[in-house]
Amino acid sequence: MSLSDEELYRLMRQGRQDAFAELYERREPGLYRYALHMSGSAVVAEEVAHEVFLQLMNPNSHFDEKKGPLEGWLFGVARNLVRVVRRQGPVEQPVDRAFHDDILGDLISGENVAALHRALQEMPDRYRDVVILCDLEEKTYEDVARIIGRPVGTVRSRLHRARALLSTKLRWINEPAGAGLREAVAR
Amino acid sequence: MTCSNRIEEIVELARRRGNAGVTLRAHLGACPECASRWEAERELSSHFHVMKIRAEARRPEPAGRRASLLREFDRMNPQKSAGNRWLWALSAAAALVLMIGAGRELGKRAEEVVESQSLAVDTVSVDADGLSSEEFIAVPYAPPLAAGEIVRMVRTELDLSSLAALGVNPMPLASGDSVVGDVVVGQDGFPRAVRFAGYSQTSELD
Repeated sequence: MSLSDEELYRLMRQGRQDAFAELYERREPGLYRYALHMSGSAVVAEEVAHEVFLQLMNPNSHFDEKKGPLEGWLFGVARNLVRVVRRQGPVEQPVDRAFHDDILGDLISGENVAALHRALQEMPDRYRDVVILCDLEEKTYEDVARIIGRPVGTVRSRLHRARALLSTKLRWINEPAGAGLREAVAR
Repeated sequence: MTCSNRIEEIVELARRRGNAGVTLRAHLGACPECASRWEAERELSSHFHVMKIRAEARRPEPAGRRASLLREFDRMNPQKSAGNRWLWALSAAAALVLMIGAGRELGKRAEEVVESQSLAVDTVSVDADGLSSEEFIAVPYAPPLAAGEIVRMVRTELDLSSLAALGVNPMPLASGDSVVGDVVVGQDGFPRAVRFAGYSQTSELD
């Protein structure tokens, strides 16, 4: 039976490098994806995921398991780091370009995915957060509530609202009148 | 059930990428607005699924990052890592001394060579000074001895800087003072343990 994140954390605090490595293997991919979708940049995502683990190993890190699970703390740190980066201005290598490059053989679906990604980037942080955590990282409402520090009901209502906004945007792009926008997305 | 209640069901079902049940299908057939939302939500979930798969597939190799973090971890936990090495060195030295104490005479004051495999059958008497594991001080950070490894014991004078180089400092010594010690050296030339045999004649310690 594998150890919980919190058990690994305690071992890590005792100097066990293998416990830290296990935590990294387990949580880094999700943190990277979260940062990728939130920032729109693979470069920033790499940096953010790396920095989260630097903060984790820092003796002065403020994780307290009485306040919630380690995973929530990790995503909370990633969330704050992404916000700092976004405040600093545009980031290089937009991920929607990467998506676009990957989907030439599957144009229709690719257009939609690229458009969805762009729509996601244009959403307010409070909506984008819950969409990424709930629908891309497939976390429960309870987990997301802990990560963003809001009640479960707020998470649910934000997600439903965000999905409605995204659906509307996608529908608009797919209508004949949105052909110009489709071309812009494809470019 | 009102349409607003249905919307919540529609969204959650679409998120799970499930199929509409009989009741919901009946409602969708009668309510174009909910039917449209149902299709939109299903399409959205499908796109999210593609996005997730692509983000995972496009993951760059993080091996360099991982290695860098592990190095940083070691750097931030030096005492703990050193503690592990100390345990290794202490275990190796203790095992060595126990083997020696089982039947090996170490009274010779000159350099001598012993083979650990042959210690158990040697019947040379133990030196009058006796030999116990307490007498030997393990050299920190020394790699453990291999089974059957030939060790060498060297009697030599050790001054303050030599003791510091070995990582041991069991007694107060002034600069320039020295003691006589037996140093256990492995085949690789690294010292593993030190035993103090007395003060050198040049030492002026009281």
